[in-house]
Amino acid sequence: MAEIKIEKKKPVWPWILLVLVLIVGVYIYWTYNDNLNETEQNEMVTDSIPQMNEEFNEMEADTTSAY
Amino acid sequence: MKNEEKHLYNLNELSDYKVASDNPDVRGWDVRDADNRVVGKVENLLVNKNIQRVVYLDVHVDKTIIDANHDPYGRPNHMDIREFVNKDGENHVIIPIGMVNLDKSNKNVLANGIDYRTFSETKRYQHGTSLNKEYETTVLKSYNREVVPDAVYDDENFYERDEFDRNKYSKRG
Repeated sequence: MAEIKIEKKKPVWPWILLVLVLIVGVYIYWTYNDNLNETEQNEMVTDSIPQMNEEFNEMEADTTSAY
Repeated sequence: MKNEEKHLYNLNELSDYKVASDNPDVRGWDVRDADNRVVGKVENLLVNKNIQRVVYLDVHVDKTIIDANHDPYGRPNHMDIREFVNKDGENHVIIPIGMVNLDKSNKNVLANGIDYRTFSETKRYQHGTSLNKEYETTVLKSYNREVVPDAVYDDENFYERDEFDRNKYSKRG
């Protein structure tokens, strides 16, 4: 039977929006993770400095006592 | 050919419409006459948005049809014969969708009720010009020269004619 119906195309913009939201979500996730790692690294560095300073002070104190 | 209100659109120009997913898109298919001779190729689909379907196939006719150089059938009374002949560049013709069968496996449009001479004697138009009801009526007269429809159709129900419904057209005597 020769009948050809037409239909409205489904809009593409909801898919584009979804992809954009996913991209933004992934970007935010990675950025947040990177910040967490940096904070942890900074904390480790901060932790180690007093120890080094204490050791250095102790060494300095020892040296002074030797005089 | 101008008309006050556009009622036919090439599907190509309606960017927000497409052929329904379970229906064949016959653009590019060969059109064959009653004797299975190729008379042209479907170049576009003419649709009416109100009824949401294709009403005519826009056919780029084969060169042999143009070379046959027959005068068109069914000149309107008010038109001079010189205005009515097929001119250079007029190489498209419309076929109502109800007058054809679709051979999906071979991608052919079969116009079983229209012979080669009828095709060559049907008024053609230049691609890109908008169609009006006068042209449509002239074409329908040419295809229906053997059988004159009983009913009278006005603009409102023009596309309820048998020629636009395969079931109704095939039952016509």
